[in-house]
Amino acid sequence: MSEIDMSVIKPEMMKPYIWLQTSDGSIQQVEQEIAMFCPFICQEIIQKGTGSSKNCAICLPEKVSPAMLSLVLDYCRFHQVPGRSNKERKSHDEKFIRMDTKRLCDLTSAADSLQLRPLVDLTSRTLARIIEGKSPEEIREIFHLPDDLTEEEKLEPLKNTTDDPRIRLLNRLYAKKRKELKERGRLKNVELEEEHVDERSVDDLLSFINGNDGDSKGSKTSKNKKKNRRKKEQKKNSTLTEASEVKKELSGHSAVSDKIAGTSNMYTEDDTFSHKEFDDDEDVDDEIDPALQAKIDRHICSESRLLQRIVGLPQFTAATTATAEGGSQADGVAPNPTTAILFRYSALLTTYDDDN
Amino acid sequence: MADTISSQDLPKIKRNNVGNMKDMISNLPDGILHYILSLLSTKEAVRTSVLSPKWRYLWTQLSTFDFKIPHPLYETNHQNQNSANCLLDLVGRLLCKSNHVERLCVEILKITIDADKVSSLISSAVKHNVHDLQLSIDDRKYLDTKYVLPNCFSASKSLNKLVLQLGFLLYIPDGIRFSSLKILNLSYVRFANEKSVQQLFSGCPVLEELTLYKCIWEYINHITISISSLRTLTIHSDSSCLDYDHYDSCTVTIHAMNIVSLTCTSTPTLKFDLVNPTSIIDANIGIEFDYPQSEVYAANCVFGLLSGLSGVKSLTLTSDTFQCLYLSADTLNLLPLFHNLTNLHIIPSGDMEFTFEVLLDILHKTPKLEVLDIPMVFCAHLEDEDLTINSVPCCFETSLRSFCISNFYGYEAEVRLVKLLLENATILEEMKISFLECLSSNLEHLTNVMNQLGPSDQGNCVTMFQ
Repeated sequence: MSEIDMSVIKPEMMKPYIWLQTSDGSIQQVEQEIAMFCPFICQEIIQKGTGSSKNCAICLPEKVSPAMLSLVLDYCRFHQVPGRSNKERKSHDEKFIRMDTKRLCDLTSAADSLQLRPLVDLTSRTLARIIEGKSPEEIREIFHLPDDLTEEEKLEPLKNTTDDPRIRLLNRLYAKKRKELKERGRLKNVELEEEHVDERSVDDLLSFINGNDGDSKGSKTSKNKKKNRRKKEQKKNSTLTEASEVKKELSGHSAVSDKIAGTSNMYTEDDTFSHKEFDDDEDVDDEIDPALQAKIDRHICSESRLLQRIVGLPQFTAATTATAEGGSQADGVAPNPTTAILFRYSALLTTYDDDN
Repeated sequence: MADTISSQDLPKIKRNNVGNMKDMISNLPDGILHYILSLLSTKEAVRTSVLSPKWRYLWTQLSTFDFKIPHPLYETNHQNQNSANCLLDLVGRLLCKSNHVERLCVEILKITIDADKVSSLISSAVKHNVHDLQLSIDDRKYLDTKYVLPNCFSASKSLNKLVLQLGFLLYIPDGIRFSSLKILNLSYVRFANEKSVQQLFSGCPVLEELTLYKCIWEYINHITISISSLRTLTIHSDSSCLDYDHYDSCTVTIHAMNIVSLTCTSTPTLKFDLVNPTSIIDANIGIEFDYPQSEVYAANCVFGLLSGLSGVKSLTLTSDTFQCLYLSADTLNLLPLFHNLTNLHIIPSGDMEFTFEVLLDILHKTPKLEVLDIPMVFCAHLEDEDLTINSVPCCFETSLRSFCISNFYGYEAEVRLVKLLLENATILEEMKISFLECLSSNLEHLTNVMNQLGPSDQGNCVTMFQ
């Protein structure tokens, strides 16, 4: 508030109290001096002349509930006193800001709508301190963020512009998982168990995205190359059909918001299981020799296990007993969603162009 | 219910609860969310992209980015290079999509990447109006890689600050122009030839602040800095910057038309040539010679530089710089009078051989000195009766207000100096004597010294011992 504004106010308006109406409709009386600390209120008084009586109370923005107003006024009451030292103000703020996260967010909102910048700064800095150093999981828990990247979204095939065999492999894994999910959804599954921890730093994410070329991977790729070349055409077709299938699937399928632990069973070493899986699987590798297919599956298993080992994810145990019918108790931590998150990040890089 | 949740509590919270609670933070106005993200490190801010779809691209609206790849533990390998390349691609894409990037810092040290990628990053940054660009791309494998600084800088209308640390052998193209660059900071830059250096400096018409930190002058004998808008100049070099055989052949000519603040620290010494130094108000000099330079050469360099600085108001010198002069004792007397100097601050360095004689000689050249700060002082010849001063420096009597000695040991010279001040410094307001650790713990010596100093409250002077 500038001095000029103050001098324009007619003397009869300098009453000690003004009336404020909060979001719930209730009206309260507040010392004018304190309320004027908020630019919004100050503007209302000067430009519209409201607030001088109960009938023409200043209507505060909807984010300002009575509880929030009381907090804001406490803040103003302290700070509008001119004689305080910086140290005093700082220590007051530190005590003032100790409240639960929900109130903190609401207070930020309220202060912003009242245009009280110093309080917005204070609350924002506190929120930043809360976010700092926490994993995304922890942040979601604290702020109750919905983890609403659906399973399907996480499993969208990645663009494979360079025809990277690893990405091809991953897309195939995704395709399988999507099928799994479809089945789970039909059987009305369940219960989410474990938390997956996503503590990867951006650096790790980035480094991971381009792959980790351990020696073991190298040999694997060369082995795969031969097979891949042979089945290149088939794979391409199958991925395409998968993709279009998934799109149809997505439009009709309700989002499964929780992760499904049972998907870890995809990686069981049990050959018979994977055989079974493939007998049902019509889209992928129709014309491939089952034995070869099993070999490929084994490669997929060990590849994803290798990926996890490299990135430092907890090893999943192959000893899950989940079967195609359902029951989703898994002993180990579901590795796939995490891997999915990581590749999701790379998708961020590749799909950014699309979204904008 | 909605209490602040500690990390220990988190595992206990069932995810089922999340579905029931409303998201508290994502509905804050974007401006506030951006502000919150701007308070986090770039790494943390980017990490929020996995929180939820709303947060996915929130971080891309920030205006300041600090991307650093930590030093790899082992030699450059494929994995590190992939991260580095990936990062550069990400930054490039970010620049293209975002209109808001103002400050960008990219640091990739000890990982070799393609020079092409550096160029494309630079051109991207320039094209998208980055104001403040910092590139630290250094690896000893670049030693012989020639790199021509992209000319696209000339197209930039908004680049205000540029900090470059490039390990390449740097060529600056003809006609390059930094039309709005105010601050330029070059670290560890290896200029390929003198022409490059000249081209760079002549391409900065509005430059106000220039820092050359440990730049390598291997191929260069003569540097001329002549930028009329320049107000602050800092040159720091050490033995890694010069060729061992050419320690004595490097000269820096500074046309100091508008320079207000000058900092020159170099060991071994470079020869600084000041042209038109009348505008300099404060100077910070730390020059020392290094084998195989000769002491005489160093002394000449220091003398030349100090002579040019006779108009400064505030001078900070290392004790070694003074000792250079002392080694050619006669030259001290030939120094001009520092007629404006009010603040003289001497920083301890090297062997800390700061002799009484040198101090007195200097003090005779500073008639208007008000503040004097020395680390310690001792006398090479203890028995010499000439220690009795011939003439008290006039500044003691007329202008000295404040005196501080920071590493007081109790040498006879120090005691004498303090006594001299107490006797003669009529307008001295404040004297601060900080004892060295070893003195304050040696009580006997301490009491001895205190006795020698005599009564400390004389006149208006407040003496503080600590």
